[in-house]
Amino acid sequence: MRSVSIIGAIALLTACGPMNKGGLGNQLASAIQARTSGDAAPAPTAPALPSVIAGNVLLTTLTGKDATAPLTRAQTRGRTTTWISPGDVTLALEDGILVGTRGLGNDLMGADIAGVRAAITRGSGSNTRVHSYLDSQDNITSITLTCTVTRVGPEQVTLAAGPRTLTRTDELCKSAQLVFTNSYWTAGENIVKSKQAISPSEGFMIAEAL
Amino acid sequence: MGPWGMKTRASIIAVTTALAASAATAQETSYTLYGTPGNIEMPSARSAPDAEISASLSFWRLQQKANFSFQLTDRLSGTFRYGGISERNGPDTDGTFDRSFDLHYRVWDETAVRPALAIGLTDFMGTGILSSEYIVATKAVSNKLDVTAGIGWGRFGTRDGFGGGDRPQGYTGEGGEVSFDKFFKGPAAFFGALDYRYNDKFSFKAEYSSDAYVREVGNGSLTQSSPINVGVTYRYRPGMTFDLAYLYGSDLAASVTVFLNPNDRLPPSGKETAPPPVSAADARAAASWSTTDRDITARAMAAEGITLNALSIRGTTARLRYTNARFRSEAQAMGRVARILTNTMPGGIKTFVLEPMGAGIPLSATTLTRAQLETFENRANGAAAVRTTQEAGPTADLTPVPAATPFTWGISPYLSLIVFNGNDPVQADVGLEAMARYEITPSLVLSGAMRQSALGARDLADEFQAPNDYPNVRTDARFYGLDGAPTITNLSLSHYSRPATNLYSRVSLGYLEEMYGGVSAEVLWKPVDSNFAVGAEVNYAVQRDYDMLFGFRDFDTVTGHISAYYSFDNGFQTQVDVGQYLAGDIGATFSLDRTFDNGWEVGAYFTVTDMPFDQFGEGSFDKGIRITVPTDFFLGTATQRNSSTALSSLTRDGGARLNVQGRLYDIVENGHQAGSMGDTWGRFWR
Repeated sequence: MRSVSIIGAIALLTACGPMNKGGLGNQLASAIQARTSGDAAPAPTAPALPSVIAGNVLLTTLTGKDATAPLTRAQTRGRTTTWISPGDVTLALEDGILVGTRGLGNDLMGADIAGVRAAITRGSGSNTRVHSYLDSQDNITSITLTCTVTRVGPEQVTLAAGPRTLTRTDELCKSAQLVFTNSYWTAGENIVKSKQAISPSEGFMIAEAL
Repeated sequence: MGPWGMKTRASIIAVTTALAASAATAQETSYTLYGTPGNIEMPSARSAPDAEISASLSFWRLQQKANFSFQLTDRLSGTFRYGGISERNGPDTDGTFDRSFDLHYRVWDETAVRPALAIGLTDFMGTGILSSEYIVATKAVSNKLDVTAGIGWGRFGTRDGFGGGDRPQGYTGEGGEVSFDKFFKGPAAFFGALDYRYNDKFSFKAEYSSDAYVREVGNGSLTQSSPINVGVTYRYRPGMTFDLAYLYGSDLAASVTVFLNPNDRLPPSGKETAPPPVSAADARAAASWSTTDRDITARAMAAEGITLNALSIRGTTARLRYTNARFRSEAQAMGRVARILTNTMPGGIKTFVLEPMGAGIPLSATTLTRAQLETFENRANGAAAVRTTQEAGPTADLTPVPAATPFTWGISPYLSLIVFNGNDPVQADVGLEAMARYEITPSLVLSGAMRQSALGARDLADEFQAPNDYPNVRTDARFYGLDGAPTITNLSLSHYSRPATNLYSRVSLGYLEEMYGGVSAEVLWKPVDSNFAVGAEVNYAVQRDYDMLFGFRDFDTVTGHISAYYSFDNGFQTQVDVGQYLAGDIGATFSLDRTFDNGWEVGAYFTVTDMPFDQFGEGSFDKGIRITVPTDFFLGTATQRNSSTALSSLTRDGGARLNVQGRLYDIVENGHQAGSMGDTWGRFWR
């Protein structure tokens, strides 16, 4: 007997029961399963969604997805705040500088940004950034970029709350693989709004603190 | 101009392809009706991009082919083909089915002045209906036009062939042996081709074929009025092309080719939801730890599809064993467990020792400190910085966490394709399969599956060949499950353990597979950081009754193997099994798989035993190719599911092994740094 089993492909379509979690029919299956198997889904404990108060919302547009959503503060640890979207995508900002995304598809897995925040405050300077990405084989690929920070000057910006004049500072980053310009709009030392690179396929995040 | 306007026009420019794997970077491969890189029927010196997998169906009046090709390395590709040859002995005569293998090797690359050169073997083993060899050169004379010239032997040496004397005809014995005696023998002939890329969608091809179809023209089934084939390729979308060709001034041919590359995953990091971020330590002392913390931890882990199996708190260190049922990558599961612990454990607990389990066996241990997790969560080298490994610790000081749901079940449809008879097309069986699993302890599990065919009773298939002198350990399969009643595909009790350092064991008892029940015992030695492993398995197998319920027949046998495994750093993995097979024949199985870190596996194997080829029957010995496709590659979100397909020669009684489930090697290597966990370590922070 020669037996060529391609059970898997079919099973994905209509499979049900706890053993079939994770397939394409998962959503349908979980509806059935909730009724029939008594396998109640345990309540997740983290990340928690805090109530929306001032300073706890980051209005974010992802240029690669052409989508805008209010992100809430999931956690602050030291100088790093992790923001979470209604769809459980997170963005981690360290001193207002994007250092990681999770759940986008082509995430920024990590960023070394020493000196960037100081250069923005100063309005000039050069620094090195390292961005890392996951490749198709689950390896981390790191890209080292050389960045130049320049003060563009005052600029009228349309914020959610209305127009406001802020100081714009640009950061032009170059490597053999990647070229992008990040922009930061500040009031004093505060980054009110920024446009920062995520990855080639995800484009930029444009974030405004509410 | 406001900043919004500026933003929408700004872009990230990816200068190289490293980050833009999705973008088509090279001219797409052109495939022949044989499914090989080339023109219409004639090959070229081009190769597909490394690792590209293609499947094609091609049709014309005399030949229908299903081709499967894989670019094994940058230069070497292989093709497996299942072909239907019509009118084998002239008009209105029967056709035949034929399996064949090809190899194509690009000897050197094209330069500004020199063409690329390739050498190939078509249908180099088996009955050799399509067999030919060739040496071919291809040069791009512009960025739109490829010119190909070559010399062929065998079929490709039949038009105005010259020199070479006689080529051996037919095949010896039962077929299936490599036809070394034919290679580059007999008359040779020239062929040539032009491939003009009109635009991104269309290419036009013309070729002078050196295949004169001597047999087909001789028996009147084909009239060749021209040696020229012309065709057009339509690239419907990336990864799918249609070809239409006019062959030899007499026949229309059409083909469809789909291809993809395991190296191009969209999206590369996966779209599964974000993990909880690393939390700062709270003010609680380690000693304040309570079972409430354990339960909160277990619930948070369960939300990630991970079961907490055991836990110990010693001083400021928490040691955990857990079973991941969601993530293909144990590294990703471990990263999630680590972050959960920073959230749920008292701040005084500073060190986490994480031991992933597979089949209830602790596979390895990774030690992580809160300080490391806090420092490296969003750093560029964050994954590498937390990479360590050691042997899993002792079980004695751990407190087991009772399973929340020891009983699980599932019902799903199944489809299996069966070929009882080498001359019949494939038969399909479809129906429902019910599976159940009861976990007595994580390492002692009762599991089973039942099937009900939707097709009802089936007629006994004809015997394919005269019986051999050996027990019909597999050719009896045609008698099984004929009545269309429910069948038990397997029902067994399995116990796994780790009896000593680097040593793993399995004992399975019951109805082990569709045709056999009995007892199966296995041990495997594999250090956590070793690419080498060695194992042994011994089985006492009794043949099951044809109704596939609880009874047995009066045939029993002892079968077992010593196995050696080696995983090369370049992604190839080899396995050699030496031992006694089900029919009492003694021999060895050799396997070579290209394993991709993202879960794709493409490989081939063959088994030679002391069973004479004429006793084995058609194909002479057991061999085949196999492919495993990870579901998350297409789904884009985390799942451990995959689909495996094997294309083997007709399964006969020689070289047959017991199909025991849950063999140790895959379970163990999945949780090792020298194994899948290490290969996917980049996912730790994902």
